[in-house]
Amino acid sequence: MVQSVAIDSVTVTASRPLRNTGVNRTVIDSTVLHQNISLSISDVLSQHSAIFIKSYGRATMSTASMRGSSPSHTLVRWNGMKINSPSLGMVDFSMLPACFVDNVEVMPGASSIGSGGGGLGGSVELTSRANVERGWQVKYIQGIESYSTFDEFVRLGWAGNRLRLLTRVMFDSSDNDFKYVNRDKLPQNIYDNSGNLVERRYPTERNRSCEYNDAHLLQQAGYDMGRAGQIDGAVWLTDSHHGIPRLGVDYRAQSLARNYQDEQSLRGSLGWRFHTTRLSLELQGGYSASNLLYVSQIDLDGQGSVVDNIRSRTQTRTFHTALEGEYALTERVMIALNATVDRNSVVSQNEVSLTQTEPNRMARIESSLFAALRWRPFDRFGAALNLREESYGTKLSPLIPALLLDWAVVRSGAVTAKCSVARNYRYPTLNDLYFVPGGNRDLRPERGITGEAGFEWRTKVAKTGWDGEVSLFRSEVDDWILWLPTHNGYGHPVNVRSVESRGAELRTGLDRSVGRQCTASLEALLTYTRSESLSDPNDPSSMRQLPYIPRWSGAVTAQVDLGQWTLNYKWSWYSKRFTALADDNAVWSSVAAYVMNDLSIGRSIETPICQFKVRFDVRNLFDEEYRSVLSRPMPGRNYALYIEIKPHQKRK
Amino acid sequence: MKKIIICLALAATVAISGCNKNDDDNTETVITPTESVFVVNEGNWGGANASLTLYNPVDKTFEQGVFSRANGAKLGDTGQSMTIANGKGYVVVNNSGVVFVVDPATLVVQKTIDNLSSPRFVTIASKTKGYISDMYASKITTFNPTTGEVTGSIATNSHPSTEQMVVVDGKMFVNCWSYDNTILVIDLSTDKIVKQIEVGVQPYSIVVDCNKKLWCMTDGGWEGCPAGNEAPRLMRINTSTYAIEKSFEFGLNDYFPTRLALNGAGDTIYYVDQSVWAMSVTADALPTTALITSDDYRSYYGIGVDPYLGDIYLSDAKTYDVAGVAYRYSSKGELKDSFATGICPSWFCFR
Repeated sequence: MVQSVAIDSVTVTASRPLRNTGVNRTVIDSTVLHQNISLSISDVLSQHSAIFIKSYGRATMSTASMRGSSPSHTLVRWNGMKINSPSLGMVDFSMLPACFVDNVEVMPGASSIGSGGGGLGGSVELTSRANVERGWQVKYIQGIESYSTFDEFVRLGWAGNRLRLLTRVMFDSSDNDFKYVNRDKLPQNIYDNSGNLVERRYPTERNRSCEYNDAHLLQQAGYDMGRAGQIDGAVWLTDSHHGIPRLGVDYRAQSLARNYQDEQSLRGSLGWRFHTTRLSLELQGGYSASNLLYVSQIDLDGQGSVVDNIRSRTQTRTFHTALEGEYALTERVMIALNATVDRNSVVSQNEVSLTQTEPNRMARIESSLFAALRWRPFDRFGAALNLREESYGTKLSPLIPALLLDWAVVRSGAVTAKCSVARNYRYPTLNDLYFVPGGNRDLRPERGITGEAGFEWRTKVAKTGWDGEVSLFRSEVDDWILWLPTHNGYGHPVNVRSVESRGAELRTGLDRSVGRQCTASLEALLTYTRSESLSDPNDPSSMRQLPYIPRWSGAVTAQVDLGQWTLNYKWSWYSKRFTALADDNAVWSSVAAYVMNDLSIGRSIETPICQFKVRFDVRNLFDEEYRSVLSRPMPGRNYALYIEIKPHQKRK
Repeated sequence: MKKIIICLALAATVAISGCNKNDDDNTETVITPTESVFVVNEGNWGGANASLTLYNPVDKTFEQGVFSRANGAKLGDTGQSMTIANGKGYVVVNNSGVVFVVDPATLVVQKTIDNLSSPRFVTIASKTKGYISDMYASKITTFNPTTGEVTGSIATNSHPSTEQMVVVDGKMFVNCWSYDNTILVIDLSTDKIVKQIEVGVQPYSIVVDCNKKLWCMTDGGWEGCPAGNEAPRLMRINTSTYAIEKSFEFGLNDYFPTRLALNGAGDTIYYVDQSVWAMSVTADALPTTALITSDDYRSYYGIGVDPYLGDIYLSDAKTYDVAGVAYRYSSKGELKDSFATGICPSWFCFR
């Protein structure tokens, strides 16, 4: 573990910081994020949080839904900068390698208001820190996985008295070509030598044309100016090429025709932070740019006459500025203020069958003002009132208020009760309003109201630590925006639906030391979500579970560290998901429940000049046939080997 | 030690309890009544949830997912259309690139015509000649309906998007919809294009009436459409001279009039323009009174007219991610029945 040198916010009480008053927060730290280099943020969130990840295939688009909301209702920030697509509103978490992120905080419901508005489900905060010890540090990891997958990762850091530099580079490539039994297509007749039908068997096919090549570079620098504060900068460059998996119901020949997506992106931020015992200030500027090209090819004659049929280009640009401040008026009262201004622009252009549409240019300024009062009148009770106001273009969202309370049930603070309630709004994206064809300038912001109550606990008896949270939640979203098809062949967004979500989340963790050489830990999650449409009481589809929201999901992670050895086991389970608001068991309207098991074993070897780590993973241990999304094939049992080399640091 | 073994055994039981190995061949017998109405449910594009609903107009019963049940396989992605001719059913699944040739009595697949780019409709001209239009391929695929084998194609060159096909006196009329403004005329004796008729922006639907006149509905495109943007039009075309004899204009960028339907006698045209309108093929103006008035809770997506009983079938896709509803009206516009469908019901086929 590297030592953190990041400056925390103002901490007034040691055990329950005022800034976290009433906040429900799941923190995933670098020990989990950096477990292996092939993990994406979507992998980590699905195993260690109550978020449901909808994955369209191995290393393919993965979106996150919180508490029964849609992916665009999950607010996502990286180093304080909102990274939701200005055109689509969502984030593809499969494109964010976990080893480039050092901390993830998941804040559902009202707890997300402190990060920003629009997170009707909640928010995910990703932080990449330039955490470097003095001197040089180098780490190299080589990954070799099934399906001709190769990962290379280099981490190079240097720190002096004031300056810190950290470079992370990663290359991923894969043929991603795995076999699967395709139960979506017609079974094939199998005949014996006499021509008698003896069996009908589903075809075995391959996940062809899904190769990917990703390159990531993250350069970070930090400069400690002593009393004058600290400056931190980060630039994240990505260049990716991903073949898009075919549907299992695609009867076109597995020829050269394929669909693929190329993306080049840049995200950069520069911030100044100033910190005293009472005051914390942060000024930040940022820029992000993305060029996305989607190509759909067709094979005109089935003999390899491949042409680009659809070429769709999307350019997005965002300028970001933010000013945040917290001030502790007394030991029991804190105020927080922040303001952000973003300018988003999108240019999109389509070419279909050699016919090009006019470029679609959309831009607007989005701003957000936030004020919070946090008050702890006595040790065991805290209250926070948050207010946020947002604007988009020339329009204002209604005021977003949130009230968060906590109460130490046990005087030591080992058990804390929490509750919160908030009104939230998510304004339409640029595509929702202005996309040609179909954009709807009359759309209203989606309106949400959310509340939750629960407990968290943390205790240690002898060598065993036990912590956890349990919460019950209920939320309602009105004027939910849906893109509906039109007869003209394009979509048109409308405010169409009211959705009620309610459920429960449980997370608990145990850790125990056995002697000096052995530690064991266990983390378990269980989530129940009912997310139902309330649109029309006379409609048979009303009060049905929303598509792709599992009612039940669970995950268990167990790890034993014994001397130089590490054994890790992951288990996850998702109940049946429906593909539409049609609550039946037809093959076209539901995706079967599944259980996933992953096992890994690792060994650390110390030599005089460096530390070696070798890790072997078996994923999908029991070779489960499963789908996360209907007719999107997923791989069976597969393997990965990682070799890590970390030269020992020479200290002066 | 015993405790550890018990714990491990329990953990292993839980770990593999959900393992999902489906049995092969999940087919069941489906028997369709002699008088059947099939509803092709598009599903969501990319969602692989197209389906086929079967409705019995005699006893007013219905069944869902009949293709999947009869064949133990999904129908596919984006169900487009279904045609029954010469005792065979042709189910076109657009984004699966396939046409399933089925027995209409059992829906069991007899043949698949696959490796198609983006198939839209099937027309059977004779026992040995069938045609499949395509949205992107710049060609119409020809096949032998008796054998189900592909026999060739007709290049449509600068008209990649071909839609509905109707046959009149040895000629086939094909509307080129997406980003186009043309109806192609193909001589079926040579399978060559002999005429291109410019009709207006994006001709969406065609039918041929009892007088062998071709009726075409254009959707007029949209603001920024490469093919242009104009008011949608309904026009009548002489199939001998190719002249546009009548043209009726709708409001620009108003509700979009949709697919045309024709009754069995071929003397009345029906279309949806928010409400449902009926019009004699000899009329000189668009109707001013709707046959079936829509309300705020219904949005008609598909229309079909039973050629045998004359009933009008309308589909409401609702929010397109829910089970839709089909309504059955008499030819006079009286509601006779309604039934649930799959996702996004769009096309009716009558047996």
